[in-house]
Amino acid sequence: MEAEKVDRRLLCVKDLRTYFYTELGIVRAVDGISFSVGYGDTLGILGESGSGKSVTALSILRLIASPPGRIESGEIFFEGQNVMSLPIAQMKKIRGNRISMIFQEPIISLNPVLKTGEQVSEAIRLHQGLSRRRAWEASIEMLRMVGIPSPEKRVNDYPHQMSGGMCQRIMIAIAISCQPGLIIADEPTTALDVTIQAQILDLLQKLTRDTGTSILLISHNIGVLAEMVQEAIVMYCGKIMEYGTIEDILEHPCHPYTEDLLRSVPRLDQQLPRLNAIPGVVPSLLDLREGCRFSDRCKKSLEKCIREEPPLIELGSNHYTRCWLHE
Amino acid sequence: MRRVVRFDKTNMPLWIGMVMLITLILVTSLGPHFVTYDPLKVNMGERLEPVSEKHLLGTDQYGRDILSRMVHGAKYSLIVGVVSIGISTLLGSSFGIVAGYYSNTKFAGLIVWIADIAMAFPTIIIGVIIAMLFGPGLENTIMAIAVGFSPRFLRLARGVMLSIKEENYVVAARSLGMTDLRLFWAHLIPNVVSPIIIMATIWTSDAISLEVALSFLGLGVPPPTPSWGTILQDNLQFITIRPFSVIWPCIAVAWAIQSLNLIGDRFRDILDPKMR
Repeated sequence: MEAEKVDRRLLCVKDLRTYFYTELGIVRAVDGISFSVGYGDTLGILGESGSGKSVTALSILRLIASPPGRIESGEIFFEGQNVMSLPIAQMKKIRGNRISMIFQEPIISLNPVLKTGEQVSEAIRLHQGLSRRRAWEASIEMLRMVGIPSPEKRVNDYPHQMSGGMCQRIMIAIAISCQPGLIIADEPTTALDVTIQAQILDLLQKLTRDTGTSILLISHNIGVLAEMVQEAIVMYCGKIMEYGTIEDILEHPCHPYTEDLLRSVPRLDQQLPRLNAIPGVVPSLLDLREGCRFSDRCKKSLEKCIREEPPLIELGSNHYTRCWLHE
Repeated sequence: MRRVVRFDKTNMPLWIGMVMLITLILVTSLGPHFVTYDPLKVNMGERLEPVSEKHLLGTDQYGRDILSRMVHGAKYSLIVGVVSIGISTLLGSSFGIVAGYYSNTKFAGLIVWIADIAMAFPTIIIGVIIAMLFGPGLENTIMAIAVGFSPRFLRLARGVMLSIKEENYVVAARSLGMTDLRLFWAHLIPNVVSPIIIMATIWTSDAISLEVALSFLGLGVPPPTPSWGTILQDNLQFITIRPFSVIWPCIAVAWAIQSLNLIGDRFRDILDPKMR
């Protein structure tokens, strides 16, 4: 990644390491991640559970619980500023305002004892200083923008009175209420059924296209990323295994893990006796050995892979892979 | 937290409880104006009279009208119960909330340890100890019961705080960039108060029965003041010949306890917004 070009992008993460210090040892949840998101672009983070995707998202907003977690090292440049070096008070001005986040299970990500209107108004009141009444009116407008019918009535409802899809729309309303430059969406559709998934993704796309907001979309669902992102990174055990445009990742995957992931997706046009699961299990992050982290499950592993961890190798225009096969 | 409370069968226990409680409050507040006999006046000529038109519940061994003593005494039992729970709610919950929020500190560990030790003593024993140290009396009884219940509120508030601190909506709220203080008051506290209110209502009934027990033992409201406990004590010796004079105060206490329990129980369903 060329240095100067990258520094002028909206979000630029350099060598982020977030570790968790537990009684059983150090969990290196994110262990040297670098990526960037351009203005108006959408970047996807693909990976299975435990790959470090959510920790990356929380690290950007510095929401990592500080015992036991710690952002060990790394720089995160947002709009040119290194947010790692900001005092927390400044960070709080960015949260919800310039960078906002959407979470995985919408119903439990909303406060159960507060009305929807109060929750949507909150960010507006915090960052734009509107009065309670004006913020309430603005929140009705926000609910309308995210496609909630009868927003004037819905604004007085509680989260448990609404479906998952509606709650996710509420979360999106909260996220866009202060016109952020970046929205981090951590598995926004995973807890929703498929038809609602499509609606939510469409909504996100529509809202951000009109405003030029960037999205960092985290998902384990390749289909979701294929719909929404231009570039993607594939994470495994806290490291980036492959990085490139979504077309390159889907059509010319250059890492055995990516290939296995793509092959594991069941297809309607194929008849298979068994699903193509990746054999083995994700290694414990407490007990990582030297060498490539995927080597014990990799079908194409070489002897070198077990001894020495590959660096990110450039393959072509903006396509990188962490694999000795492409040395 | 406001939910529509339906006026129908489902909430019947609540209505019954409220009717019972309101009746009790009316009798306690207005009753003393209507009963004709002085609850303290000894009248040896009319000792141990049975139920009659003149004395609706009979008289005790000193000739005092039992009904009038019960009506005048209601306020002691109720006030002691309510005030002591009020104090211990505020005291116990405040410490509990702090201990829950700052759960990793030595301060929190110390508080919890003290509360655990305090809870190991039955509340009656605490009442006895305080009565021995400070003597019986209204204020001391309130203090004893408040001290007895504070650890329960502390554990309750702390438990709730610990469980909600890591909930998803708290992380989501933090991601909006609010100050810790705002997070505390706007998001954490509203979720903590419901369980506390519910248990406060239910424990008020325990506090009332505790006051009756302490007064019965002579450690609470001192005689001749007519608390239900002292009435019980006075008439106990005559239980073989006049059982009802003991039963009346028991009924009164049971009435108070049941009304509060019914209300508190339905509160639990109403105030918990997760119950659809």
